[in-house]
Amino acid sequence: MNTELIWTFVSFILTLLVFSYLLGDNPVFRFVSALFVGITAGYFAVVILYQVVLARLVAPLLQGSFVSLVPLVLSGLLLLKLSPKLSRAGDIPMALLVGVGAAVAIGGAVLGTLFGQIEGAISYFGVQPDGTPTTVYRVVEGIFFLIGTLAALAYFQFGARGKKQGEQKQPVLVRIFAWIGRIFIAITLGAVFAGVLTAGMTALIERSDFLIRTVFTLIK
Amino acid sequence: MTMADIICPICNRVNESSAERCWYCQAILIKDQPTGTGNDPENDKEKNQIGSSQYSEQAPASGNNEEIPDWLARIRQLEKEEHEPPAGVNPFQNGELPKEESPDWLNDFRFEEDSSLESTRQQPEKGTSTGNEEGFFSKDNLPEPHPSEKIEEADAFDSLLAELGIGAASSIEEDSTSESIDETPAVANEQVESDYLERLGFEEHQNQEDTSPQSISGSEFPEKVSDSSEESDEVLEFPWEEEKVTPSMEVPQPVEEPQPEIESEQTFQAESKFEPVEEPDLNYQADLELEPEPEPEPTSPLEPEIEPAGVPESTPEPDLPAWMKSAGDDDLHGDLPTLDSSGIIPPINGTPTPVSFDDDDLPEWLSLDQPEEKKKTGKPKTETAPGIEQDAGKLERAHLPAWLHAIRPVEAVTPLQPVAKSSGEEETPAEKGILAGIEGVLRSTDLSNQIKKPPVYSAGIEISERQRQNVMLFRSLLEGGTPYETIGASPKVPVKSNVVLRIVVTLALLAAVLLPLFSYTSIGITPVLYPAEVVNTFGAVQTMQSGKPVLLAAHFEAGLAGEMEWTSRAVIEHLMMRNIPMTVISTNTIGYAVLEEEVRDISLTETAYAVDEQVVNLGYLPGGTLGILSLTQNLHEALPYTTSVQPAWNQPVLQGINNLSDFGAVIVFTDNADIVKTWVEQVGTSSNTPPILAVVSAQAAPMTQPYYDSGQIKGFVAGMNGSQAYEQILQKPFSSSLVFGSFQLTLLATALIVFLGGAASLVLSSGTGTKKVGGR
Repeated sequence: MNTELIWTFVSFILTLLVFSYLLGDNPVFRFVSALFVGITAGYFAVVILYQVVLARLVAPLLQGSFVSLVPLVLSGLLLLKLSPKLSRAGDIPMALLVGVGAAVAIGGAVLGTLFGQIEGAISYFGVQPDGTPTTVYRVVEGIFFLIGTLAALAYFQFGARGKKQGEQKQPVLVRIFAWIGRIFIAITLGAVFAGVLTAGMTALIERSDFLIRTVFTLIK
Repeated sequence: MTMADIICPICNRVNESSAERCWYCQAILIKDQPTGTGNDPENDKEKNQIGSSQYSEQAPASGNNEEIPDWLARIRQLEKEEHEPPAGVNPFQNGELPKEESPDWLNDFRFEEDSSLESTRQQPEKGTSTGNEEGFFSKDNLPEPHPSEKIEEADAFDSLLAELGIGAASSIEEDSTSESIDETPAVANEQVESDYLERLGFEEHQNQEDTSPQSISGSEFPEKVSDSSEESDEVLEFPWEEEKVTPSMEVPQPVEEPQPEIESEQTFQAESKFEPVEEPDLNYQADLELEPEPEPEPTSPLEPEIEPAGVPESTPEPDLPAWMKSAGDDDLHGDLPTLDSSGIIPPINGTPTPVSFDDDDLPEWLSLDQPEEKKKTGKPKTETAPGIEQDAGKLERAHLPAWLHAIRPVEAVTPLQPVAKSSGEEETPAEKGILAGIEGVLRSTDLSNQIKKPPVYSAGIEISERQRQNVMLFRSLLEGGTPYETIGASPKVPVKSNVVLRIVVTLALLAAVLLPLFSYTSIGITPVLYPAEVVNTFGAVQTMQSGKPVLLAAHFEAGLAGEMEWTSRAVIEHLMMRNIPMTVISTNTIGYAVLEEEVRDISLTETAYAVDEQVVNLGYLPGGTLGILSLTQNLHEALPYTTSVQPAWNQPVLQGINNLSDFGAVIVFTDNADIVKTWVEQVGTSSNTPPILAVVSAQAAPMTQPYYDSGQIKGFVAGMNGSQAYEQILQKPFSSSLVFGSFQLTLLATALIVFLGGAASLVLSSGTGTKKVGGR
């Protein structure tokens, strides 16, 4: 019997069991969920063992690269976090990971997103990325994007000036931009929701197509 | 005590000789019992003779005194007098009672009695005089009259006494000596004192007539008082009231006359000695009011002595001590009223008080106590009440302080409501309690009607249905049971409705999915305009060098593997069509396996493309952002081995690749926009970076669009729409185009369901909000 057909049949059964959730939470669905979690964890462990530990730690060490001892030591210290008495030793690799990761993320965000987005917004009013001059349509589009961006930033502006009566109130211009920014943010979140819904519908269609094809395959 | 008195064997008190019973103890008197000091049987005989001879018609009545009580005898006498017309002229009117008719012993007795009366009348003024008596008779307080006035007043007084039949004061003064005063026994003193009080009562009576005549009217007196006055009127006679004199009163009663005199005296003595009771007190007051009782004594044997009193001018002045003379002048001549021509005592004008004197002469305490003194003199309440009421009306109404008002028990319980009580209610005695029957008791508010039974509150707690359900839910959580089992059947209804709704929605979606699949005609609408990012992606793939490998970086979850498979199929097929070698990596553990499976699956259709030679799977790139950044730093160290643990960079496909820029393009396959951002941030900012393309899920398209608009990525394909557009551009319809109808119809059904669900939720929520607002 073809193994592909077996795995197809297994996939068909597991898909139906997942669809059983339409009738509510049931043991079959919980069994399938637990099965997927277990398979994922096992698969993750195997991948980590083979593609991280053996490929990037053991293999260099066996090849005589002492530099690989640094990640080995740091990994060993990180494992000490399991021990309450020696958990402070794991703070060093944790500090290294958090510090380096934050620095890389902040640097990438500033250089990649902030500067990149500013440059992209300016390009609407100047030379396009491909070097062609801008057009009126792009200028209008750029103004619209600019207003949307400033309005969304104004919406997250929570600062206000104090007054004599004790009440704190934002300036009128900020409040107007915040109200506009709320509209832009709502549209954006609606688009994200539509994308998520579309992705879900696509997955449903793909699974439905799989079931139909599998049924047709089994029938044949 | 006279000689005819009889000493009671029981109480040893002196009684009248004619008395059958003791006036004090009502014991039967024995006639044979030795009498007082002057008891003489001869006098008794004479007395009896006089009585029998002069008042023979009275004899039967008097002869039956042993059997008939006095009061009955009086009644019979009254009846008899009413039936018999008056025999003649009133002998008292002119005061001409024949002197010879009275025996000598009786005249002596009268003289002694009057002399002792006058002497004893002056004694209290000097010795035991009270304040009131001082006010009336004190020599010091009274103004000194003029000598001429003295003479006139003395004459008038003498004539008055003569008319009254009391006896001429002047003659009494003439005959009286100090010896008679000394020899006066105690009984005589009492008798004299009664006479003095009788005179005093006479004066007061006259003054009351002048000041408040309405108070003297018989209507305001108690009945007993009026009765007693009537009784006294029957016996006594007021010489100044001729119109009241009846013929029966004019009849002299020589035998019984001393008896009523003694009766009145004894009555007064008995009342003065014993504690005053209401009825005797009234009699006493009546006696005081009608003090002229002794004045009608002209019927008594004293009548002959009045005769000489009618001529006071001719009577010589007796040898009296200076103090007695002055006192007698002051007392008798200064204050007594005088008769006018008609024989009626004129009212004293102006002065309501009996004696007019300066108020400055009185001490302050005495002037303030005058009303009390008036009470002591025996005035009835009806006379003093108006004055008291007037004074009370002038007084300022008292106000209780707030703290005392607050702690009063009655008003603390009952509201302060002025209760209008009549005077009759205030004086009515209490009906309940220990003070029942006592007059003048302040009535307390009846609290029985105002006391309410306190409300009884149950010890349980009243909770609403929602609170009860919360309690049951909390209890089930603590006990570890299923909360819906204990709450009841009502919560199960939403569960069933949810299941039904879920099934209905699922069936609708499945219908939308399956209907285009089983239909022979295309239901979907194919777009004619292609997105720019898809076109740019197609252009970038189309412009790649054929021998230069592209880096396929995968990062998606297994759940979206189907969408990613459909979305990436056209791009991968395009790469295969272009025979571009592919290096597969992933930043998660699943991506590279799914992507490799996808490539191998697509290669089944692109038979010209050798997957084993053209595709290198470098596997998982750990470290996330740092791993992606390491690709730009040291590509060989970041990806040293393939998934089959072979040196990656020794693979023929990857020969000549030392940096990331040596790849023809980096195509990111992800369902997360952040992965695209990370690739852009970490790889796109370097100097020598290949063009970045993205094949993303539909949910990552909105957040990937800015990076495309900013030119940081050259293009991307997102979801079924991008894949279908890419296939349209590639002109090879694959699965995306086949299921595109289902995709469009499912999205339409989903949008419809979302719209209806939102509208229903809005209606229900508005209704619930209205109920909540109404409930509040």
